Amino acid sequence: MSFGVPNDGQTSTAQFEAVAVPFMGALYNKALSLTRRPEDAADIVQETYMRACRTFANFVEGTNAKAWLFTILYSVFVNKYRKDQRDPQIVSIEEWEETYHRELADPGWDEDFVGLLGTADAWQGPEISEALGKLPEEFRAAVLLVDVEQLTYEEAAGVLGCPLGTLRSRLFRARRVLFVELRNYARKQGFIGGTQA
Amino acid sequence: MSTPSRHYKDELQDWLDQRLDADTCAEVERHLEGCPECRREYEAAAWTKQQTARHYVPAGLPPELQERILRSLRAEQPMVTVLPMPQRSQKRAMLPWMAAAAVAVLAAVLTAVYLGRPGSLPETFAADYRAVEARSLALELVTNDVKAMESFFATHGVSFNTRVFDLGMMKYQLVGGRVQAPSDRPRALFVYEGPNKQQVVCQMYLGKVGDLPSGAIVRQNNGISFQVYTVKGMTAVFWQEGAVVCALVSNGGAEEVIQLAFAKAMP
Ligand SMILES: [Zn+2]
Repeated sequence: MSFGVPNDGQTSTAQFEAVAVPFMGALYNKALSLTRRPEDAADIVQETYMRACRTFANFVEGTNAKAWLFTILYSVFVNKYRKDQRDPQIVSIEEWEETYHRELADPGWDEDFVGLLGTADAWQGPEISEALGKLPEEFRAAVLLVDVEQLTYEEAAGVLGCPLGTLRSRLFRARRVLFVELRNYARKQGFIGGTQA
Repeated sequence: MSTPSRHYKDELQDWLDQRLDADTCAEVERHLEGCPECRREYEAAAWTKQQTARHYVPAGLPPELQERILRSLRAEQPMVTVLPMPQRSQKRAMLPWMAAAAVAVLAAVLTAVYLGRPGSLPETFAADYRAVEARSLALELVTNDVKAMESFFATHGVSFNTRVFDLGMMKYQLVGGRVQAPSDRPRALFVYEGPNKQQVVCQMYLGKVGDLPSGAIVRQNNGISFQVYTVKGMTAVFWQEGAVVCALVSNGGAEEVIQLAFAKAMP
């Protein structure tokens, strides 16, 4: 398949659909994780596709179409929706990180971690999305783009319009927080012993 | 060179994401061997990354949204409404399935372009795994008899002794196997299926684990050194048995693959 510069409206839309439609689910998921409101998420995805289709000629063949679409989506979100966002953040990232370091320094770590490894089959529900939902938007976005959508650091930084170093640091911190949340969840569910951090 | 007093907490996440050069890799590996603090950080980060990649459940795309967007797109292009192509309308009817399949295919292609280190054995073995999973790599012998599998290899150009292990204890059953690269450097490839139908692909070839690319996590067990690679969501564990290198590859849990390797490796 070649996605060169379109020569007429028909091929343009057909080519665009072939490139872009397969990512609609991923984009909707990302939009929902940004806005938390299905109606807003749907509007963001629709606007993303309209914009992307109009600028399809600028899409460089051979580059990551998913990253290109995410970039447009993120800019739609930032320009129109972000100001309405209120992240229900109860715990600060710093507090979470303190908990994380306390847990790692615990003498019972090794035993506890082995217990956690044995829980592989128990994670079939929405717990990862719920834990991610507790993170501030820019941290959540880093994990979604790199660990879920498998973008490179460079692509993810491009989507979020931030320097590579910022993306990297957000991703690393987000994983630490996520670890605390998932481990708490495992305890609450009785997958592993111990009390909640 | 390394300053012994410092930790490598950020680098070990770079390492996890395969973003370090060979020198820094070696430095981090050396440090991890002697620093329980960084080892714990690594374990936590690796587990979290894996959990997220495997168990994150995305929000489902509402089907009416897809229809709505496609309608708007086509309405913006007056020429399209006149001549809807047959394969388009068919695609439209099947979209949820096709979209999912296309995402998988495109994602695989894109990942190969962006993250791939083509030609390296972990990469090749991961591709073989995918091909087995997709049934595009046929098994030349379908059997659950380990002895039959071994004699098949012996009579099909594999010059070394293969040890097709019985993983019944771990609830994995042999499914069959084939010879890879028969005219070049033959590899014995055989497949197991676990209790939840998850597959593990084993490969054996004449070689040295020392020739594998850097970037592996090294795990020790029972006096054997295991090199663990994460390639596109898959785990590949390599170890040496005499003149032969053995590898287990799966997209199941990393720790599960490692434990399988530990269980079956022979010092
Ligand atoms: Zn350290």
